[in-house]
Amino acid sequence: MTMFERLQKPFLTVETGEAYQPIRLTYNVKQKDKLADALNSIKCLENTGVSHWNWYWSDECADLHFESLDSFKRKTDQPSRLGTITIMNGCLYLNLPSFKRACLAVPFFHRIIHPSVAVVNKADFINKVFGLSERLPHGFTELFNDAELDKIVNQRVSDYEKVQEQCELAKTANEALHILANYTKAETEKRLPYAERYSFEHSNLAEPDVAFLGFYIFLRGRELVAIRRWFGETGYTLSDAAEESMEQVFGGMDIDIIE
Amino acid sequence: MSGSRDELSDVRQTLLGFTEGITKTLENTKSNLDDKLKQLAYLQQQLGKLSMLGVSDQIGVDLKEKLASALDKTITEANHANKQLKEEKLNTLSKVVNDVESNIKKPGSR
Repeated sequence: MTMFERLQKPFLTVETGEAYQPIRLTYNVKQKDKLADALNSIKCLENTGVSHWNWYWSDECADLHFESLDSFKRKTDQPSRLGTITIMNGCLYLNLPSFKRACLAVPFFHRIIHPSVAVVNKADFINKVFGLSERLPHGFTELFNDAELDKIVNQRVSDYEKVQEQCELAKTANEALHILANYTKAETEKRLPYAERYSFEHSNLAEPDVAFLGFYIFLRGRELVAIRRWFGETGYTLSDAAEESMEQVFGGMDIDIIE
Repeated sequence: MSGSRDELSDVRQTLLGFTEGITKTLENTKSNLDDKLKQLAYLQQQLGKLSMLGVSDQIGVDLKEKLASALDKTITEANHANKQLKEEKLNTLSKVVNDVESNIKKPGSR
């Protein structure tokens, strides 16, 4: 697809209006029997086969709010299917078609499935949006290479740990900030990989909506990059997404950040 | 009498000096505060970038919520623009279909 065609073409969206971007959440199952019982007791889940459920926008999750489109009309007798759940090889997989749904799913399921039964471990996703007539990936196995995704996460964490160490050894706070700023600039300006992974870290201290805000920012920053690039801003990076969003935050406080 | 006028003038000068001094100190303090605020905002921006990179989660909850809401707002605007684009495409397509249909219905048309 040429850039000129892209500029005129809308991207594929899901029913609730946000961009179609497949994402798979993986939970470590700690008590399989209790998990199946818990899933069967949730009204917004429908058991559709052995170890398989559909997740609907109804009952316990009827209050979830998608800002994506104001005009979306919900049919109470025919609730939208938000995602699917499969239990396989000691893991629970929650497959979703958009980042927003994943952001809402994580705190929602954290509240209703006790962490001693199953706990969210990682999210694998695609850093692009799709055209209306573009070939869509068949299933997640085609998309994600476990070893490759792990390698990207480990490399990033290892690079950051080195920077952290350099900051600790810096003689002044300014020097530390300079090191940090160089690192964030270089990393956020890199082109994002086609497929990527987010690894969850758990803390029992915060309320779920707050605890998973880091995931929210991580994912939606990438969604913004994918959308902007679709509409022709081919040089748009995470750095731009961060600066644009921060400008909104600090602009409201009349603070002009000069680098 | 003139002595007391001189004294008054001295007092006024001293007061003016004080006022100037205080004004200068306040200006310096404000400028320092502005600098500190900018530095803080810059640091928060770096932490925001780290948060987007997924390597560190050290920004405050308040800023995280504001950042998440700013992202929501921008993406929602893009979603609306996308929807509008879709509708325009659909309208163009309907127009083409209508034109074709009306040409077919014209007597004598093939």
